[in-house]
This record gives sequence, C-alpha cells and structure tokens, in this order.
Amino acid sequence: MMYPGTGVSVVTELDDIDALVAQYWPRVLRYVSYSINDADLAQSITQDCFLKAFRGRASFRGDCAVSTWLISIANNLIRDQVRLKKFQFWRKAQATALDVAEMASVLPSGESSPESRLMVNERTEQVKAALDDLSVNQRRVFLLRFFEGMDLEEIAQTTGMPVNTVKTHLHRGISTIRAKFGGKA
Amino acid sequence: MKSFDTTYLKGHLTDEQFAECLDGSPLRSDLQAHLGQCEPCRLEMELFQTSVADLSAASLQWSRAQPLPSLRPLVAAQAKRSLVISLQWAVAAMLLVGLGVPAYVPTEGQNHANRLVRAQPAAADSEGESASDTALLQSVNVALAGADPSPLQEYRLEAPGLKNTLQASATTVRAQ
Ligand SMILES: [Zn+2]
Repeated sequence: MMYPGTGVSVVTELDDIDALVAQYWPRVLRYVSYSINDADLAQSITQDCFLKAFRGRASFRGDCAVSTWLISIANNLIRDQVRLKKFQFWRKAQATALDVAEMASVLPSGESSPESRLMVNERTEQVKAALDDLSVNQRRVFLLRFFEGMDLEEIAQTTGMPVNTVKTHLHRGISTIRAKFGGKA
Repeated sequence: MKSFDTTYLKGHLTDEQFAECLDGSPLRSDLQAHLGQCEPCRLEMELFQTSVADLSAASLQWSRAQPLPSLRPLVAAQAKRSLVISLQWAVAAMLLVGLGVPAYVPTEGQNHANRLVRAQPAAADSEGESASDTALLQSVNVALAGADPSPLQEYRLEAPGLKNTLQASATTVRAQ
C-alpha cells in the first residue's frame, strides 16, 4: 500500500504533530485499546506513539501508509510497556477491560428501526466478547485484518511476526469467533 | 465446473476453510464454488463479516468520540528542554577547557559511595517478587513473542514427546 504523493504532502503532514493527531489518533487509539483491553493505558501508549513518531519522522520513507507506520510504532510500545514497567501494565491489562457498555452505546447509524438496532447491538457485543477470549497475539492479528484491512504480509510487517505465524493466529482467532456464532465445524 | 473438487459440497466449510476464505489471500476456486452453491455457508460468512464490520464501525465511532489531545505544547517543551541541556553541556565544556580543570579522578571513598548508590535498586526487589516477575515475564514473552513458537504452545500442535521439552523452556523453543 503506497502512500500517494509521498514527497511534499507527507512531509507537511508529519511536521505538524496536531494535524497528525487529528487525522490518525482515533485509529491508533482504537487499535491499542482493543489490543490491550484497557482504555486508560491505551491513551498513554497512543500519546507516546505519536510523540515517538514525530521525533522519528525523518526516518519515515513513505513505503507504507502513515497509519501502518504509526501502528507498527504502537506495536513496539505495547511490548516495551510490558517489559519496562515490570509487568504492572500486564497485570492491569488482564484485570481491567475496555468499557463495552460505553462502546456499545455508539453504534453504526445505518440501522434505523429499534429492533434492527438491538440486533446489531447484540451481534456487536457478541463479537466484542469473543475478541476478549482471544490471546493478545490472536487479537492483534484479528484487529489488523478486520479493522485495518491489512493482508497477511502487511500484518507480518507491522507486528514483526513471520507470515505463517500471522496466518496461524488469524485462523485460530476466526475459528474461535465463528464458534461463538454457532459455527458448524 | 467439473474440474472443481466437489468433496467440499458433501459437508460444510471446516474452520480452516472458513478462515482461509477470510484471511485476505486469493480465494481458492473450490472454496469459491462451495460458497456459490451452499446457502448456509454463504449466509454464515455474510453474518460473520457483517458482525465484525459493525464492531469495527462502532469501535471507530467510540474512538472518534474520545477527546483529541494537543501534543504541540508537549513537543515544544521537550525541544526547549533538550536545547537547554545541550547549552548547559556546551557551557560546562567551554569552562572546563578554558579554566584548565584537571580530569576528574574519583577517590577510593567516592568509588565506594557510588557502588552503594548503585546497589540500592537491586536490593529493593525481594526474592519472591523476582521469582513471580520471572514467571510473569515468561508468560508475557510467550504471549507476545514475535518469533513463531507461541502457536506451538498456544495450540498444542507439538508432538506428544515434545510437550515436556516445550513446557520446560520457552527460550529453547524460540531457538528452534
Ligand atoms: Zn456449506
């Protein structure tokens, strides 16, 4: 996925940190929040991600989308946090879940009738609950595939995992969620 | 299409085939044919995709509803701080060179004091804490390892004979 007009536009975009935040914060925050399942820590990691990206913006060569680059940095920070903070983060991440009620109150506007909205609500909560049952790696890979629309190769680059590992995690994640929906196999 | 492997039509898509249809790689023709002819599998696939897309949309709306921070003042403060530190070092270096201050050689007493200061943080951790941290680190490493071993452990794909070896040391497994 080449970023179009790599030259001037990217340099301008990356040189203004608040413009960068305005454009990419929601996607990075969502990815980090859902990966670690902790809204407070996700805020702090996402902020560090943007500060780090801004400081290292000279190293961005434009060979991937800016969002992919930011998510790669976020992936490294998630790992660093776990190791540097003597696992306090890890303990907390396992104990506190993202606020599903808050998330579920903001549903896509496409469904009009109360009944269909209720159905969408139920399905959405079902997928969210199923996501919570995945391992951290399965969840990260699943989010990159279905929230960020990346293919196996892109996920491998963003996470630093081999493609086969990505495929294994993704297939297991899909099967777990399929089972929650009453799959046949 | 007689060239398709029609064995898939005898049953529905297995988990592996279902996942293969969704993993982003080009859709195999036999799986495509099954989906074309089997309504239950097609509906199941559509329900899966719609549900995940709904969650994706809802989660993005949630994150868009969160307040955006302004990082510009933080970046400016960091830049100012590093400039001040650089200037302080530059002035200190000029003073040292200009005044001809001899190189700093610590005395035996100072060396001892330095050692004590350095020893303190290590003493803060009890043995019990270290052991539980080590155990936690191993589980974290296994969960987050970029290298391939975690699927083996996670999904117990290893041969029965290998199981004990794998459990004994995550590090050994990573090396394989
Ligand atoms: Zn079928």
